[in-house]
Amino acid sequence: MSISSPNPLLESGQQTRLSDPCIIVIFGATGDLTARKLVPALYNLAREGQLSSQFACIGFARKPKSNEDFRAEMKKAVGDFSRVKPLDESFWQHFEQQIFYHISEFHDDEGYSKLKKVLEEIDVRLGTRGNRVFYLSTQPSFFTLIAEKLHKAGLIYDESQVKDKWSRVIIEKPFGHDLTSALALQHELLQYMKENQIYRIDHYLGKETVQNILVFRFANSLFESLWNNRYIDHVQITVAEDLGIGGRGKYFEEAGLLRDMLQNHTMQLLSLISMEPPVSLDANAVRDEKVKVLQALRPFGPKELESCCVRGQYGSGFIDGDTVLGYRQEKDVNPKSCVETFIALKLYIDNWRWDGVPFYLRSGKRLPKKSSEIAIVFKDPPGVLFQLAGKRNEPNVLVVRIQPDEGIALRINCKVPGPSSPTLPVKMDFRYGSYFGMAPPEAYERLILDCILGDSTLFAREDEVFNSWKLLTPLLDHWAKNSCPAFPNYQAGTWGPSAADEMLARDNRKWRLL
Amino acid sequence: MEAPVNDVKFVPPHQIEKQLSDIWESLSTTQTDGKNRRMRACLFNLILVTDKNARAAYIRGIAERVIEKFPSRILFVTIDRENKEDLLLTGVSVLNVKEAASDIACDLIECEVSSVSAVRVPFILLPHLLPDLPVYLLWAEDPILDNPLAYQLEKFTTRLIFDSESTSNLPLFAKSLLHHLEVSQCDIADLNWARTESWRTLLIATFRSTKRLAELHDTRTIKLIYNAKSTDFFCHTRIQSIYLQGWLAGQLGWVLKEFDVVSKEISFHYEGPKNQPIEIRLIPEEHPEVAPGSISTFELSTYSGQHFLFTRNPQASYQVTLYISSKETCEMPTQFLFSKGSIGQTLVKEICQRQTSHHYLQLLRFVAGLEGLSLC
Repeated sequence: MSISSPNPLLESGQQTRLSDPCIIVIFGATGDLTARKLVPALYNLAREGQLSSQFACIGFARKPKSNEDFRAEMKKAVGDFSRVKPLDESFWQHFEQQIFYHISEFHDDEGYSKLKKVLEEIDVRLGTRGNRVFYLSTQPSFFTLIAEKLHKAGLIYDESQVKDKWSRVIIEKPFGHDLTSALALQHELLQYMKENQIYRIDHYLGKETVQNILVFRFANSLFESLWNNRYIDHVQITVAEDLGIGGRGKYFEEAGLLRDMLQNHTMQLLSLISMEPPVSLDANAVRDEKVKVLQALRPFGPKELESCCVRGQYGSGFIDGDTVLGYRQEKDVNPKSCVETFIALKLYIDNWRWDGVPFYLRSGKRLPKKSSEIAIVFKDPPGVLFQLAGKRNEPNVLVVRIQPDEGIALRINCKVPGPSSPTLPVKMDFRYGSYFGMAPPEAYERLILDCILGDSTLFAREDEVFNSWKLLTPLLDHWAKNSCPAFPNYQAGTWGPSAADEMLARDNRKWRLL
Repeated sequence: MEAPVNDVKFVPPHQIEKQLSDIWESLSTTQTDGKNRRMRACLFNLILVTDKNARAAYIRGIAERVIEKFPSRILFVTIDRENKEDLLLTGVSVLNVKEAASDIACDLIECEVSSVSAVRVPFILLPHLLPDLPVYLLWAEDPILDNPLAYQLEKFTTRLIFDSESTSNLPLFAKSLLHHLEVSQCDIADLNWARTESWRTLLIATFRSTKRLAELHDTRTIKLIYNAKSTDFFCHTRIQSIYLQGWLAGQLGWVLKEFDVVSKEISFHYEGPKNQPIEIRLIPEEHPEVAPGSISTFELSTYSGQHFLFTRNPQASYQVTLYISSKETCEMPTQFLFSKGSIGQTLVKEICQRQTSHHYLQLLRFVAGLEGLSLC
């Protein structure tokens, strides 16, 4: 367990978080995520002394390879993808001795029995004390199967029986593909573990800027007093990627953008930016408030399904000057596919604070640049001062940049120097990179560490997921019932279909140019 | 590519931001003694699009003058129409503000394309527009010519700035801009209109009182002398004079009856509100002390015998002296100062307006009616 009882060595008020000895088992260890994110995250955590020295990592996958092969592959991956470069060779020599590879099919009982033995051996050898994190970096269809096998092999502890060690399961998104399947998945998982052992990961929540939203809102008196429908005109949340679907055609044909990005990343950003102050920073207190927001989202009626939701699919175009394929020409994609690669939504939160304030969400692939941000657009000031020729000034905008170039910017109007008085919008910009002079930790570092520490604040709780699906499932059903739109309807390298612009134009608003 | 102010680093498009960051990083960390240290500044995005020809250097000069007053991110696009290959070159550098002792500098992103690659330009520029800051597009080519690129770029532009110097047919240019305003939501401006700003301000200041305004309404003749000495990239030297007189006539309600051109001198014949005839003559002369097309003298006579002569000082062209006289009196000369090298200041003042100038719109309608007017 994490050290939570009073400890005479710890100074009160100091935030010292000590992680327990443990073994992390990664299912789907030969996948991209392991090489690009998970092992580099573990390497950085270990290198910075955030992990217990009694720690090990086991890659679980079906491809035959030795410990040495796996270590060599991971060494290259860390060299290529770690946020800290170059690879610290002497540290790696030590670290790689704690990395292992286990060959097994996901359905093979014997593979889990052998895994249990390997884990026990490592416990003895490295002193990892029986603590386990099982990271399911696999296709969603394997989640229940792996949970069942782990349970059957006695690797997931019954917390009512076992007190001196713990086991936790990290589950990658998407959690279900609609409300019904999410409920079913939860029901199945609860046969093998308790809700508090499930860590539904959404890497967006591990980003420093996302965590900073709560600090920014609730540790500053300046903004919170303006954070309501009296001063805010609307909110725009953008999660944009310039990349296409890469080699994930098969997955994307099943998932689509709504399930891949909007239901999780974008909805998490929405709940954090609009939630009420929690009574404490305890995991449940924060998540209670997030859930309240999701519960207050106005459901789509038949009219809103048409007027407040826009879907798109990219055709060929240009990214960075190079010609790129349209979605239907990508590998493993149906040439007549109706799967969306872009979504724009207009939502309302029907509560005291946000009554009448539209939240515009957009997310897409093959947009002009990778950029995620939340923009709070304030109402115009009253009166007619400084409004030349009947045209209003640009509204004040507070922007929380999630990625890249994490930071916060405020757009204000300023007088142009000189005797005449035209105004121009100018920007006050806070950049994490410039101010703190170091790269913030990767989201996966924070989230894996939190899981080891037993802190679930930054993981989605079941009711968050269900409420998000509750809102979006009618939209999926509506699309399924209706014929395919005239796809493709936006060119790769542009900001999405014109219908998304028209949705805002009807409200006399515009999407921000990022 | 034309010679840049600083060394351009040619990089593939996806490296543009990283390379700029590296340049700024080197400027902030290697200059520990403080010498040559640069402060990155940006008030707006300024896109300049021009053909690769002699005028490209002139357009680049405009950008440099703008950033002297208002540092901004410059995105400079050159289209090489002679090149039939699939050319796309991108580069970055830092553009220094030339004012003495200034440590301000700004980003310069350059993009050179052939005609066939021009379609890719919006896709190159779009990711590099700084959010939350206005986007101004200086379209240096003649808007009469159909150009799909302009329409693409216009979609994300706050204001579109044309240069009437680029046209060979001013009435058609005006019609094109008026049409543009009908079909687009984008505000427009014109460099030549901006260039006349100092003269307009001077006339407003001079004829501000009721007495002076009455004298202006009593105008009989106006004589405008402008520098007709053209250069390789600036040959339509009449435009500023046409604009200034057209603006004055429009605002005073004078109705154009006819115009004629005799040995390069244009005469406009108006009828005033009291049916009095008014003649305005535009006289070309060579005045190398001022920029091509600039007005050097403005002379106005009234029916009641008042005489106003505004003339630039040949030794210091930014100084304008006003002589006012009548049959009976001769006032002490008054001196006015135009801001030196004012295009940067006036252009920004013009583009910072939050709408297309109503006066400029009225002028465009006037110019659109000048069928048969030659610029050369």
